[in-house]
Amino acid sequence: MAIGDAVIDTLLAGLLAVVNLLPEAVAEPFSYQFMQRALLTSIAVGLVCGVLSCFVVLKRWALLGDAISHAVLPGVAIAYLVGWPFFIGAFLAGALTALGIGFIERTTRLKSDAAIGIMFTAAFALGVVIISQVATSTHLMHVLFGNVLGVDRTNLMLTLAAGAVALVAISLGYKALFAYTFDETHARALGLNTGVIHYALILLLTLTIVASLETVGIILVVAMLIIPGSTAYLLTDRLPRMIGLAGLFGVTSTVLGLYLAFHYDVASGGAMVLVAAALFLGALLFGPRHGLLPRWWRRWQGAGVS
Amino acid sequence: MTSSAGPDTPGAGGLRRLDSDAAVSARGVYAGYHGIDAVAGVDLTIPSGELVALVGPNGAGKSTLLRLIMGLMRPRRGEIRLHGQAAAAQRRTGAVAYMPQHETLDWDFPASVRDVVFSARYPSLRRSPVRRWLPQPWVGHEHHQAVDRALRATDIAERARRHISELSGGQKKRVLLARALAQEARLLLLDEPLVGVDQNSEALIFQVLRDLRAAGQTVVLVTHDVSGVRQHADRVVLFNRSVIACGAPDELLADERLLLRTADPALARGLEAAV
Ligand SMILES: Nc1ncnc2c1ncn2[C@@H]1O[C@H](COP(=O)(O)OP(=O)(O)OP(=O)(O)O)[C@@H](O)[C@H]1O
Ligand SMILES: [Mg+2]
Repeated sequence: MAIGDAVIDTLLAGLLAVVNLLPEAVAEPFSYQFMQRALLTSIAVGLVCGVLSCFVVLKRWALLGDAISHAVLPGVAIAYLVGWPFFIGAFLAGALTALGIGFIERTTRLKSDAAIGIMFTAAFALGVVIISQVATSTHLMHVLFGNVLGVDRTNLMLTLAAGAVALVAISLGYKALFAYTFDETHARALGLNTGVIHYALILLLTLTIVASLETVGIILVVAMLIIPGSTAYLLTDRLPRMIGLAGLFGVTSTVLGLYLAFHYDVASGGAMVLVAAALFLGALLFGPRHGLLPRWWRRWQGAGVS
Repeated sequence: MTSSAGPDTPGAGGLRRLDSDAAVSARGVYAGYHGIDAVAGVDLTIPSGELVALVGPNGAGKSTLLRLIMGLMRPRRGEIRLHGQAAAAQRRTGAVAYMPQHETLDWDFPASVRDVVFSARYPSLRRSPVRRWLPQPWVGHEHHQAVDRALRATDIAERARRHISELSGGQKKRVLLARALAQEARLLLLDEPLVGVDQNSEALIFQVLRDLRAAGQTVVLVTHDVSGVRQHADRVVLFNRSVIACGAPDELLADERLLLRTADPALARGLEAAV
């Protein structure tokens, strides 16, 4: 814990030094401690979600990500009832759902989309039932919709730790992940244990979702796991560059979103996802190779010449 | 069936000695899909360092046999050993390279031709405690040279930096072959690598496969190209649900009765009974 505190203090001090380089009007909100914590959390969440979103997009796991994020609700509710930290309940519920989906897929003839649909709606329904029994608490609302301004030190530490685990795992395991993501059969021919890689990636996904709950909220966290990677995918044809860009877009979305949430007093999760969506729209329209406008421009020019 | 099996067909006892250094030895293998056997009673010994062609009609179970050897499927009965060891242990070390007949790959995946071929270096990279963690550009010369050799061997080197979606069907096939070559595995299982490949490339690929054999690697090749097999293969395995015959290409491919038996075992049995 002492080390964690020292790391957080160092990071906060570094962040503050950077923020102070900005114009007075922009830097002003960050003189509050809660805003400093929120900024550091946002950067971590944006970076990890962005990096992981590449694999979600390429593995076509958008629905799975949505499922895991919704499925953490009963875990959060039960943890709230029992008085545990919410992230323990959330992680267990998410991981159990992911295992359940895998189990249904392997043992029945149902395909993954149906298996996912069954597991996560059932889990979410359980969460709804439990929540309707307990008095609605603002804390639960924050978990549903995100409230980055209310992030406390414990949550900040959790987010940083989860983010560090995810980033280290992805960079060290990059070659195996590349083989697994592009061609699972070939990955097995290379002697890789694809089952282990599969579940490790799902655990990372669950960890990231749990770490992002307070920032973006259950309902919208999946957007941060799809949009930055998709935006980057429109802009590049190489995986390392895609991962870098997606991390950049993720951080841009969460930091700008935080700023908007503070200024206009709106839900932080919504603000962040709107920024991410705006970036996507930009790439869709103006991306040099796959963008719509450059494509129309090239066609128009081609037509003009001939 | 056993009575008139071709020359070199592995018998029950005599070849036990050979098994220890055979690249592949299958004993009494049964396997299939949804409870229906696609291969039944396969006994096969493939010595190390040979270029072996696996020939048989559509639906004979050739792809199934390669999948079994590769460990993508498990036999319902019987055993497969590779290089005298349990097959699973050999596969874990990356000693077997595989090129599937049909791929369902996402060719929009953000990777260059070189990235895809490079991925085959993973098994040998993994043996180095440091390099396995390093990014692709820093893993050391010999790995990049192996990739370059594979790219040249399949005549795809000038497209190495292209995105994989910018390839024609035959070029994609050659990239996957290059990937199998770059693994530098002791045993290569190639499922119809020559389909859709032009004649120049086919000649080049056969040349490469012969070089591999000269270097002591074993190649098992599924193909319908009988003239190519006659020219280049050391051994041909006629296959239809089980091994019909196994031996020198010139002898086996000239034997009309064997070919008929491979094409349609039931009809051949009927004819032989009538004679
Ligand atoms: N995925 C599958 N599910 C069910 N049956 C299958 C499957 N794959 C193959 N089979 C059956 O197993 C048998 C052998 O198929 P296999 O693909 O091994 O033949 P093959 O010799 O490779 O044929 P080809 O020359 O057409 O490639 C066929 O009768 C086929 O119908
Ligand atoms: Mg086949």
